[in-house]
Amino acid sequence: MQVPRRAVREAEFTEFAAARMHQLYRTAWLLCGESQKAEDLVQETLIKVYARWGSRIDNPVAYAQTTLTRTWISQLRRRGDHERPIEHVPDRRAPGENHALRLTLLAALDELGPVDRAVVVLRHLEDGSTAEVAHLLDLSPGAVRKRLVRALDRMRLHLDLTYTELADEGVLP
Amino acid sequence: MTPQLAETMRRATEDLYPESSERILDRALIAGSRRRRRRHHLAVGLSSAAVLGVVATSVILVSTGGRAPGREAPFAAASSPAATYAPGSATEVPGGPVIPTDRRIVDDESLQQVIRDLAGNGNLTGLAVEHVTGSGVGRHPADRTTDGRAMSFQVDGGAAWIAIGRWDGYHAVGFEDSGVNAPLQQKVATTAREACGGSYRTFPAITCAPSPEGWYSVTHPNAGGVSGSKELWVDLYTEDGYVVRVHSLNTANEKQGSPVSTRTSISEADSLAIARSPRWFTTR
Repeated sequence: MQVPRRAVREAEFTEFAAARMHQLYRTAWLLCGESQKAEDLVQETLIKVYARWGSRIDNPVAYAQTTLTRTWISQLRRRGDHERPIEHVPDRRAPGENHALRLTLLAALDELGPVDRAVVVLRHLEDGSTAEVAHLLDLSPGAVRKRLVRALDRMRLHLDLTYTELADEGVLP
Repeated sequence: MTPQLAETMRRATEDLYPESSERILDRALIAGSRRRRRRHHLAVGLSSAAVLGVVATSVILVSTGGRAPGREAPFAAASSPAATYAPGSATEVPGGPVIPTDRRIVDDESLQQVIRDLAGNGNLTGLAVEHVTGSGVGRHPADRTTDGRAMSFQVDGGAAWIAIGRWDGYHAVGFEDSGVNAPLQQKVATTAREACGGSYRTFPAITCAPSPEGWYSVTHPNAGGVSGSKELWVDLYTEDGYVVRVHSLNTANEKQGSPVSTRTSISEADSLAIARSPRWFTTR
């Protein structure tokens, strides 16, 4: 008996979403800075991905990443400033050993504007090349590099970035 | 790439997982299926027009609430605006037109008094005024101004916000995502009607209605979170470039707390009256 197309589609998407949920959530969390907004962002991303699931998506992993990033930027435009949390409560569950590290990282990322934040997260957490980040954010590669240098310069007040690493990125001469 | 920063990010997030991953997946299947069906029906219904993908800038649910009392005509759907298409960076855009005006927003003390007078029928608490980016209702990545005003408060325990800003300049520019491999298309609003309609095609469409001041929309977003929670947005776009948003809930904050009422802290009719009030402005 032939399995209905819809069932096949749902099964394939479910497998994809389960496999990518963690990575999408990590990126979303670094962009949003709090767990509830990150969950909302991942949910909206997966809704959009499933709405187009099928032959129209050549690379689902890349498509999901692009969709998540652009959805986050568009949500900034739609929701307004009163949506920002007053203080960070990164996780309502037990803190865990990475809690202090997360708070430090969020403090560093909070120094950045939204696009700079996206550049840093996509470049470092997602291992994106300058060209890939430029395509995701519809920037030129030169603009990506300029933003990255500026962002790292701001972040180093919070993070103990080494001289060598900052020099490699062009922050220090 | 800075290896240490990459390692820091990975380590900081390695044990982070969404609390409700099953709910996320279920919702993706249900809502995603609905959008697939709508897109299919739209594609079948249109003859020659291209079907545009879900716009990255907005997922707005069309209001299904009642009309303002006394109104006879249904909302007039905003037709596709005669917007300018121009390829370009969605985040480095030079900005749209600047609409002339002889008005400015009143000072903070006056803003607070207006709120007390217009929205203070119930027990009004926690009133605060913030200076925010120029739009007040959104945040364009390139906008560094603080000319917008965001007021927050509670009425009988239900949260409310009023935001006032400009829809011109940077905020007149929208962008449309037609797919991963397509460049983002820039669209610019040049009138209040276009700005209200989003200056781009959304799916489903935003419906806007005329008022003496310009055009307005009423939206009941999916408040999510707690069962029984309700949310209302009333956005008024004036012909001289201002946007006033009245946003209310029936909970103490977004997705927090139990509903304190069966309706939002400010009714739709009162929200529109508040948005239309001339008292937010004074002449220069």
